[in-house]
Amino acid sequence: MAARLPSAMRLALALSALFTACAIAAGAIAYGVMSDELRARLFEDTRVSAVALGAELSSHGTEALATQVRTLSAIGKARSELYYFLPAGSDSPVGDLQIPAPFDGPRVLVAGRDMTFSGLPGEQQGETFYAYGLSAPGGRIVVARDSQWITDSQEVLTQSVAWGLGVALVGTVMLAFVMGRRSTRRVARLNELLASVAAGNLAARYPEGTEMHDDVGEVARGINAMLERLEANVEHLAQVSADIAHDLRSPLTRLRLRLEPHVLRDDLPGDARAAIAASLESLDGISATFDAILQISQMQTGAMTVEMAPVDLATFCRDIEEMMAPVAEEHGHHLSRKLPNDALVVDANAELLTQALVNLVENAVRYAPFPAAIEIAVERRDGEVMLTVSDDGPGIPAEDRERVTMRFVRLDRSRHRPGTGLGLSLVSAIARLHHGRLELGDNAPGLRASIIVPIRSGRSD
Amino acid sequence: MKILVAEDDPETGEYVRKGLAGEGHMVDHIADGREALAHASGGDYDLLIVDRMMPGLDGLSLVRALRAAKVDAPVIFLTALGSVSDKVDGLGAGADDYIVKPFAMAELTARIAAIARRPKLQAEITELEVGPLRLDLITRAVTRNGRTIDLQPREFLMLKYFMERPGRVQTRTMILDAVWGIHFDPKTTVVETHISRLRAKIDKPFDRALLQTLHGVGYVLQP
Repeated sequence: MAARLPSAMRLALALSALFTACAIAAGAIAYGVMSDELRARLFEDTRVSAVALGAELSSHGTEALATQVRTLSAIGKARSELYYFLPAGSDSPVGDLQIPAPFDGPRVLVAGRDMTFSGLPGEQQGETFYAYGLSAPGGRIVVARDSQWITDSQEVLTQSVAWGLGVALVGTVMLAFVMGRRSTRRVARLNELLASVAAGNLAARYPEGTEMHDDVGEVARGINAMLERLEANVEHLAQVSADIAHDLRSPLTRLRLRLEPHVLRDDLPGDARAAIAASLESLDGISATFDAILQISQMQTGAMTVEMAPVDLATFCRDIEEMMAPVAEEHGHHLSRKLPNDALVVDANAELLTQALVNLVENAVRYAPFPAAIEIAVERRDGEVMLTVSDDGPGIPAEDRERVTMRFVRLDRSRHRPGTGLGLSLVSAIARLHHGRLELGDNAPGLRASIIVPIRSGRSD
Repeated sequence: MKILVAEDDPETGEYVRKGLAGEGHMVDHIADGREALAHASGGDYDLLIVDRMMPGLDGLSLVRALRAAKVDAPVIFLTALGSVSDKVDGLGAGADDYIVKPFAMAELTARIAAIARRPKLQAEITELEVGPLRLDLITRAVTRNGRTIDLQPREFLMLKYFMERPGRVQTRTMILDAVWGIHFDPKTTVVETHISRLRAKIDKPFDRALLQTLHGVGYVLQP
């Protein structure tokens, strides 16, 4: 779960990360703008104070200003405002500060570097002050203010942004998990639905509910609509197959019943009876081909549901080998088996699996030039079981292997032999009905045809 | 036996009626499902042969209705639907046997005989005898004219099957079902091959062939 977060959760987490980044950027901008504004105000305050002191100096003279500065110094501590007045011609300044190089206009002063405090210990060393200097005929004036206000304001801003962001983050992450869980649950339900349909349950639907109004709901509705059509089509196909079966089998039945009594008639010449017998055999061939086509299409469309039961492949293959060995021998081949010692159980329909395996053996018997060594083998590989029929005949060229499992495809070299061209496609359809597949490979030399089905586990389906 | 044939195709129904009458049965043929239900519920038939697709009432519903009404005469389905699931449906509805069209008359008569014999199967038979052939069901010893014949297990099963039905034609499908439990036509020569092996043991060393091939129909063991 940790390796692959569901997409909704990932999206929500990404959104909350983006939100955090934006909030931090906005905070930083606000911080800068506010700091600039506060600094500008401090400079303005000091300028106004300095200009007022300058006016005092020009109207009431040096002494009056010196007195005022002393008074202001005494109360200015509380306002964090500091004063410096250097009367013209004097070298001992009045006020709170010692400034080695008095200046004109706004300036940032650092305590201990650009100025020192008169009579105070350097407890504010390194602190930044915003100051305004003024030169008047009566002397030089500097008013400075400390930056405590700015620092405090910055702290307030930072803290409120941090708290707000923290709360928002916790909220969005929780939301992400809730949304993620919800969508995971629904996607899991959709997957279950699709698996159930793949297993042949065409009547399965996504439960319609209150959650159908978002994108996942939209997909679920789409799947339901598609299943509706699919189920209708399969039903239609089953109906058509039944109709065709009826319409084709009825005349064949009449024909067979009409011919059959005559094959047993002693009063007919031998060649007439032989011709009737041959006709009956052809007729049986036609209905067998027809059965196979019908069976394949029913299996491929899911119109056919079969009962599955545990089948031990070791016993199963031994029985088939015993049944088919004389047939192989008749054709000059040798049929052998390579089976595991212990039982290997799969869920299967024994009748269909017999049909598939007999078909593969029959193929080898029919198409491998004699004497061929044909082998039935059962192997376990990972969670699957391979049921393989191999021979040492000419095999099937790699480029034709996929084609031969299609209906009615027969390779040129087998065209003159008996057969319908349905065998391998029937085997393939049966394998798929067992949640498996048919694989054709090279036996070097010869053909390896493997039915691969999942091994039986504690599955409930 | 008194047999009801419910089959909507008149020609097929007539052939079946004639064929079964030739075997000594009393046969009624009805072409409509609903009518067949009325007849089957009233008349005391020993066996019902029912087509699955019929106008009026389909065979599956007919058999279900009969079983619900406690009519327990054996039923053989004749059907154009041959898939595994169709067979399961048919037997599930209460049918006793199932024959896919087109079928051999020989197969139908053989299956009827099988159903007729069913209750008597419990009889204590320990030895089968057909002409010069003897088969001991307990010791599994087989002899012809007193000469012992060695048989493989499947050959034994096959011979036993034929000896239980002397003089009756058996089709390939029936032999596959009886000897290997296969209910479909695997389109192989497996029956032919095993028959010819059996024949090599029971017939070849002797003057007369007992196990005969009827091309286009099946095989028969002549006494």
